[in-house]
Amino acid sequence: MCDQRTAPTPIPQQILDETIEELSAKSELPMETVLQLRKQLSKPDAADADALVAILKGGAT
Amino acid sequence: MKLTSLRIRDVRGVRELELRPEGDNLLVYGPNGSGKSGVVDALDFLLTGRIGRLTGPGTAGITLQRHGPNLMGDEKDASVSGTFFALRLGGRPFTLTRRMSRASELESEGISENDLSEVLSVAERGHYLLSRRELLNYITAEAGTRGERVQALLGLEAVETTRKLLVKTRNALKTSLAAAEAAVQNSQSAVAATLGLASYDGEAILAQINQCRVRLGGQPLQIATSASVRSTVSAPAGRMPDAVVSLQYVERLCEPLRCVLKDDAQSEISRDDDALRRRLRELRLDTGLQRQLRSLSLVKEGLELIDESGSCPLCDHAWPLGYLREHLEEKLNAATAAQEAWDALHADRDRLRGRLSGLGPALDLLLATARKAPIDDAMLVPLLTWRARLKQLEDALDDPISSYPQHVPWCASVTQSLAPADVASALDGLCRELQRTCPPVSETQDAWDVLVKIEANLKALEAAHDEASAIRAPFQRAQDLHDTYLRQRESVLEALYRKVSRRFEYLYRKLHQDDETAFEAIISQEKTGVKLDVSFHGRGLYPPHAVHSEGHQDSMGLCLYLALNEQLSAGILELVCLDDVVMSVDEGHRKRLCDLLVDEFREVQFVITTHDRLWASQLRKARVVKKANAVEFYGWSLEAGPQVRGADMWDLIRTRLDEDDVPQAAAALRRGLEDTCSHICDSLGASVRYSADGRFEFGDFVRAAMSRYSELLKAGKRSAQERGDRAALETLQERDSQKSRVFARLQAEQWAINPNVHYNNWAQFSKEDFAPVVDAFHDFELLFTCPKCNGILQTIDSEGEPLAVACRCRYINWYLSG
Repeated sequence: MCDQRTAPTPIPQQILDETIEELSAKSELPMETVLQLRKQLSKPDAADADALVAILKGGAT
Repeated sequence: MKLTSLRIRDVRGVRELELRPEGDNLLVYGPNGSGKSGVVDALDFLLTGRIGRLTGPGTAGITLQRHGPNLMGDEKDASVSGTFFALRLGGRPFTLTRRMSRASELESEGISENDLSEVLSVAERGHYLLSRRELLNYITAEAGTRGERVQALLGLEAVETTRKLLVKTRNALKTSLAAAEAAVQNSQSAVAATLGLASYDGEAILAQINQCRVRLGGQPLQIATSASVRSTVSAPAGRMPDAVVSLQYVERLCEPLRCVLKDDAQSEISRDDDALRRRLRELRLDTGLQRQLRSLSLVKEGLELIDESGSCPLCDHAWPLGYLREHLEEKLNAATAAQEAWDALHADRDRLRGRLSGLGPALDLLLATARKAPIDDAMLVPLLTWRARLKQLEDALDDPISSYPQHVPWCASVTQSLAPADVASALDGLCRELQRTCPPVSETQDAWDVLVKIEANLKALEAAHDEASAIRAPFQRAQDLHDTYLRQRESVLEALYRKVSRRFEYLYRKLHQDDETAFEAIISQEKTGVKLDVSFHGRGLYPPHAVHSEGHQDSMGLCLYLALNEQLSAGILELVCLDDVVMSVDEGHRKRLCDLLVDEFREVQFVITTHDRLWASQLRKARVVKKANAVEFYGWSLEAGPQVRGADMWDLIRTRLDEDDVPQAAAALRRGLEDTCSHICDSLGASVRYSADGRFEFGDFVRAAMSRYSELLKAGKRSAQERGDRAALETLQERDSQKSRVFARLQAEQWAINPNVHYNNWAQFSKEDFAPVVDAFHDFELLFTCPKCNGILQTIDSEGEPLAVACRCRYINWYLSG
């Protein structure tokens, strides 16, 4: 007994997914950076600007 | 996720209650004060750890801790426990329990933490509960308030948090980049000052460097870098110590300072100063523009100071999230005249500031060099004073409206502050004194010293360039990330609103198919709110509360909520609690609402509370709620909480008969039959004798129902015969015989519930007298009811003509025409 419908993606997650997809399509942004951004922004409450700055500078994990 | 059972203990007005909806819709009805809200509160508490009714405006001093537990119970025992299942998770049952004593802790059994957190995040956003108060927020409130409600459902607080984080990140990098670019400018000024240039000029700098290199026997460079500036040249023999002051170097430092003292430079400065002063005078006379400019300045500063709370940085007034920013940005856009004046003023200011740019660094280097020489410090006083005045002027030019002097106390004019009368002689005096006290330096020595200094300057410049370059790319990325996020936010929300608008229109049209078949709705983002415009009988679009009746507004609120909820929580939390939400909807539209809930929301489990018996009855008759799931709260006491009974009319009547309470049984029968028969007449299109006061006796309904049923059966038999459908004919003949038997019994027993008898002589009836009456009317009701889906038979019409009689599940379905 399993429901075949999939639960809708929450709106904040949808927006983030679309953003990351568009950024990934831009070749100048390294994939590593994109992945780190997705990880950080998935929990915006826990994220901080310093961490994002470090990621955007390309030196963060 | 659906609710199988709910157990409430000592929460709000409930002492001990167990409800078992078994995943189906649940109806709790009863008069005001019977404890219905306790069920909603308990569910709210179980899913969120709070009770919405105890929070918000007008609830000061009310707390969950003090007012959540039942007043008669022990706080330690106060708890709510629910058993749920979710088809998406395989249908396995799981249990959630929450206690008042530990409201923040949810005990769970049979569900993983991940699955639970998904459900709870949806519950947290309030997807499962629509109350009358909430409903109004969708329709009658301002766009901002509606926006807050819709945004809460959409979880847009998280989007706003992300947006702010991205703005903060971009601003941090912007600040770093501005500092790095300022460092580049300072380094460039230092290079220019070292070579005695008024401003940074690449070609002039290269020419001077090459001149020095040639003096030292080196080759000219194509590009000067810190690494190349002294390459292939060596220090001259017999070089003097670094501490020795080179008069040539001092003369070079004096060069831009003397330039600014010349008449032509002074007249240019005077002209620029006049222009700025004139502009400021005009502004200062135009108090309106001045006010606008100050306001513009304040707005610009305010925009930078708005923090994550979104409150006003000036007065701490709390604005709805994001609203102040939008408001200020709108003000900025509107202030065109002020902006033009602002731009002209700053152009004048920048021209004058350009004249100053090289002076400060040159003067600083000159003073630093002069201090190494054995001269009297008093000689430096005019230069130190000049430096201080220049600094004052630089600061004044940062904010000319407030600070640029109209009447200058510390000097007569800017010209004087740029070129005080004693400065020229001070420079000459300093040079003479240095010539007198310092040993001469050879040209090669001077060339070497210049290259050493330039090498250091270029190193600093290159480092500043590197730093700026290192920040420019991340800043651009941060800007891209921010812009992309905002663009995607618009795109995702626009798509969602479009989808919700269409669904909202469909639901509302279905609900109001008699008067609003062309209903249109447009949902859009407005500032940080959500704008809703709806059509009104083809006369254009209006806000929903502008021209529609209160009942229509309630319908709209409900349809909009259902459309939104469907998009956002389907498959996660398919539990929707409608807490007394149809107060202003009339009887006809409530019936359609029943159909809507059954037809359009089969996957949703509704928990519906109402004080309205008619609405409760409609919900049961339309099979929105099974008999077993209709729970009546018929009273409430402090000691025991709600007095509850199942809502099956026949069970209730028989219970009363068992208790030998014939008057109560007769009253329940009469009330129930009026209710049931009115639904039957409505569903089959029976003609009830018109009554101007709208009051009908149940006998009116019974007669009309009997007559209509006979007509429809007759038409059905004729149709079956014409079609040669023997099976259908036999079924209908059997139904006809059954009808005759039931109707005959009714004719025999109807005396018993005749109003004259009934009202005056109830006390004389015995249980034995009344029981056959009950049985006869129960069988009467069953004639109109499908044994499979329990739905009441209804005619299927086309263009006002009945084509068939059928139940909802089509187990019963007979045609009326050939």
